[in-house]
Amino acid sequence: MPANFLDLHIVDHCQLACRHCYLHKGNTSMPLEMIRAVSTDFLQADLPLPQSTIILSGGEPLLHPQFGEVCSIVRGLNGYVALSSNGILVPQYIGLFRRNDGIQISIDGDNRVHDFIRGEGSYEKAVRALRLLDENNIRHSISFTANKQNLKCIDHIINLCIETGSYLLNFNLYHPIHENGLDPLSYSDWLSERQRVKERVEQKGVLCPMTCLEKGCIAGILGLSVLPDGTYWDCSRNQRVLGRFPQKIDDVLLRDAIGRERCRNQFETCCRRLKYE
Amino acid sequence: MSEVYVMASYCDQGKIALLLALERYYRAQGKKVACLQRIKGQSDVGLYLKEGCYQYSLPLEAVKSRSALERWLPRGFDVYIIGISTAYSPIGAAYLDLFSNYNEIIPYDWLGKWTECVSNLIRSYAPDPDIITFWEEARNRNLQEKNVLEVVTGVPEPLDSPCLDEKRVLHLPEALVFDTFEPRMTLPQSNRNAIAVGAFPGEFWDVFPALRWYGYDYVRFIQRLEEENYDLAIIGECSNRSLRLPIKPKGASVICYQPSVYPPYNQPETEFQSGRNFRRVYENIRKKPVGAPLAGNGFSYRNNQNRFWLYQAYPGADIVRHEDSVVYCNGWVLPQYLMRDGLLEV
Repeated sequence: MPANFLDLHIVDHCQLACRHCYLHKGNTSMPLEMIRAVSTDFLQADLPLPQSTIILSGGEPLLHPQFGEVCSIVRGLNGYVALSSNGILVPQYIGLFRRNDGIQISIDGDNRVHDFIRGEGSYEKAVRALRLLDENNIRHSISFTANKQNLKCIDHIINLCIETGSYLLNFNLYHPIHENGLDPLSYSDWLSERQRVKERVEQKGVLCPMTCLEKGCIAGILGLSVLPDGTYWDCSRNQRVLGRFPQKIDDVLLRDAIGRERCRNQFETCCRRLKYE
Repeated sequence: MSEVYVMASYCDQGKIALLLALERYYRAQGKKVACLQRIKGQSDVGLYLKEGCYQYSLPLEAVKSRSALERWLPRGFDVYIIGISTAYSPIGAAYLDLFSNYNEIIPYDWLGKWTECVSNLIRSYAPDPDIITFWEEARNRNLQEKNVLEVVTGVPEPLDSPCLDEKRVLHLPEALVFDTFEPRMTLPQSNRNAIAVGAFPGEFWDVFPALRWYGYDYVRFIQRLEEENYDLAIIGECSNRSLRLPIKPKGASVICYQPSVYPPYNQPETEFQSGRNFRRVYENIRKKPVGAPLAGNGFSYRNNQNRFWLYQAYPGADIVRHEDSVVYCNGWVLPQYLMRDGLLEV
């Protein structure tokens, strides 16, 4: 179900140096007081949809030095923990997760291609995380970012979803940011591939939700991203600065768009870098 | 409870010689001794490894409290000896706050003129009177509030108090002062096959008891690595920044403490920048979570401004970077941190 979103980048560092990463690495961890305050503010904000989700991201969110406390805060405020991870530290934190949490692990190909994109040895650890989450009945999903180099691995990804009991596959399109050895797919190629993937996985009971590329850009409308230093972005890909903590989230959202009940034109935000045909 | 001896000094005043003499003194009595350092220059660690000492590091997060320190003191030793360099700098002073009794090392030719000697040394690289003021205040406060025993190094003749003579013989070690703590740190043990060269955190010996160390013989290390099978290779530090290794080891995970061995890492020029508020750094170390800003930009402690508060050899580069099979440590990143990050498996 669509939901308002708060994308909390609780750290800006990671163990990996993925080729397609669009964030600048640093050394900052979001203080617990900021996590609590900004999450509370978000849940009290006047947002368009009835449901809201708080997503812990980064960097690698499991590197937050007080990750256990972060989970307690978010679970206390919103009932569950949702996060996006490379999977490396999932075994260390498995005891913190609960059945109704949502742990998304990024997998960008088979062993060889994933390691080419994300670093040697990272595939094995990501898959180990998926299996462990499955064994512990914790809701988990896979995120796959498609480009020309890894598209041939999509059947492998679908099989992995099924084999590891993932409830959802996020089929994303790689956005070219800088020269990194990866070639983007065109929008139309991605769209037709997405349709094929969706049909295949949904036959097996795995969800493949539509993305903002198809539905329209909701950056700064349904929610925003917050960096560890308190900067507010409309979303982590478009990276338009909307404000800064402790500004009220209500005061920085794109109210005109909310009032007109309109999405932003995605071809004027991060998708402007895409090729369409 | 265990005896914990603290030796505090400015740099290069005979502290390691004294520490090693004390270690030998207790070892000769059949006691098991742990040598600990606050994280600083790192090159010294090779001396402990060469002497066959048990060597450990105390990161800045250990200064938060007495119980935090106990979590970084390894269990299973009879005696603990901690060396605190630049003892009254904002970082050194934060360490000393943990102790009620400590030994202050003073070279023989500094006797009676400590302030003048320290001032001259500091002034030679940092012309900022605030630094001297901070040092003097921190020292005077400790001399009033704590039991500080003066230990003189390089004495021509033994004194009637603990001292180290010119031949590095320790006199009256039984009179040194100590505190007592309850060490709580245990490290996991692995049967993985590990090989090492250069100076590296001694904690690795605990984790990999079968570790083979080739001193500073990088050529032999590479030969062994190519000819034999290892799960883990540790490339430690040495003082030769021009050293380059011809290949990245295949088949072994690598922890590299000297990133310059693999270009394009270049050693940056280090320049001391004067700070405006030393007290703020000192207070932040004690009160803020590890990784929080220590001070404003451009401050001399910017090299410690990372998520571990470790000194970074290459400012601006990641404190830890994983590329191919190599984990590059841009500072004295302890195996405990690497395990916590999932970059070292045992």
